[in-house]
Amino acid sequence: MSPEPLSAGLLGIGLQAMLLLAVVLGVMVPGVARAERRHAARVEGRGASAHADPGLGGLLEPAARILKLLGKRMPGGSSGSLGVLAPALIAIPPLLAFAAIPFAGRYAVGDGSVSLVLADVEIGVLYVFALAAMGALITVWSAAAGGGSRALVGALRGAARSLSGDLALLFALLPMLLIFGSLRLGEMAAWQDSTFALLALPGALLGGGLQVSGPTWPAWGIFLNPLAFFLVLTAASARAGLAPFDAEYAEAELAGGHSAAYSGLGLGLFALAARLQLLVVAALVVLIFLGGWTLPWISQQTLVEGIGAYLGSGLANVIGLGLHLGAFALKLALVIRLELIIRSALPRLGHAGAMSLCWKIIIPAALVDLALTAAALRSLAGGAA
Amino acid sequence: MAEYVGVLIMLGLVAVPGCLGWMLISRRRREPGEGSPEEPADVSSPRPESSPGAGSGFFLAAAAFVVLQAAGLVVVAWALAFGQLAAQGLVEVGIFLLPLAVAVAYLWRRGALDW
Repeated sequence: MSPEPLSAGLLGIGLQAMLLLAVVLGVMVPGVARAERRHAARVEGRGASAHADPGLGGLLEPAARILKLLGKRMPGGSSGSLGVLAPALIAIPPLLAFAAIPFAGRYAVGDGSVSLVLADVEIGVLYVFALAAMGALITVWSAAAGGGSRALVGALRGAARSLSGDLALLFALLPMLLIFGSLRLGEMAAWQDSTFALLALPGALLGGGLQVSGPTWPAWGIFLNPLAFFLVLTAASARAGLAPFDAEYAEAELAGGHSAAYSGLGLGLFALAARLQLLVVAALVVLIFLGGWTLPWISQQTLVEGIGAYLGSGLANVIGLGLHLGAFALKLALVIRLELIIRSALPRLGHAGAMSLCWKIIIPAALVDLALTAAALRSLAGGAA
Repeated sequence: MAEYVGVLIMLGLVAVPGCLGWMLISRRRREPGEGSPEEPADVSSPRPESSPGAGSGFFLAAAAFVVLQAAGLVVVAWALAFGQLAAQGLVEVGIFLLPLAVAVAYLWRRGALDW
């Protein structure tokens, strides 16, 4: 029987929530902002100025920017309570999505256990989907702020792109749901805490049965189903409005799109929401395709037992938690770097191109992938029997 | 429901102070008067410039999204139970998805997916 969680009371959960918000808003978002500036400087062939990085290597820049924006006036054209509230609401769904994202596994500490997930909801992935759909709705609300026809067109296009990407993402994730058999993000990551014989897979698919032979490989989703990785990454980027699907943010074409009526802190909150969306997409990719917090070739049980033989079980679990948290952070940084490279390398897709990609390429490819994965799993099950 | 307590607490920590604070800040920092930030020249063309059929395109995309999303959730339930289902489950979901694939192909052929 697994140990009971240590902090089951409301006060404990509240403290965890505040810690999570502090980490996300105080560490992760500034880290992404810093990575964006450094990456842009590298791509443009210039050095990132030391003067543009106030304090702590540039991690205080978002806070400095917020203080600056607080002093700016906003145009008086925004009208309607929904339009006024839109900047405050736009960042809430991606923040709530972090409640279901596990940063590490479950570790026995003393008489209880510690788990680095605030709300291990049973519908994990669908919970994140539902919050993304709310973001699309708030985008339409922002057009009600009196931005005029261009803002309305931008908002409707953004909502259409987001919902199309949502549907494409749902179908693209189905093959991974076949493999993992669960919607909980923590169980998806824990499932990948093992290895498989990559070279023996073709023989197993042809009915030879599973035989562990040859070098083993981490059982991460990207190795089990690489097509699903590309489809999910593309669909998730389309849903969140990341490059190259950020046509409504093209200032030269649509004057800022749905956020045309906002400036100052309002516009800053839209930028905050965009960075939070990037983090949520990256976290989903890490949990589903890169093994989450798991270390390659070293399972949690092996790690804890190996360290525990020298330092005791309690300290082994603490060290294991630290190593897994570091692994998750490293993988998250790699995926964010990949997103930034895609942002700088690929041209921005127009609205028609983004919609066509979702409906005519991703969804059909996802259905084909679903059929192939189901057939492969049925073949493996038949061979094992 | 106990697993959603953290979500509710986080919602209370974020939504209430965020909305109240934003209402206060925006009220104090709002410039008085005048209307839309659009250029005056936009008054001459009040309608959004769009290609023919763009309005119906949004409706078609929304309708197709609702139908396919509902079907997708049914397939999610099948995917989660895949380990317990025999080959019969595979055939049944194929029969379920076939009309949907035909519907998507019909939309594609009729140009409803063109923007």
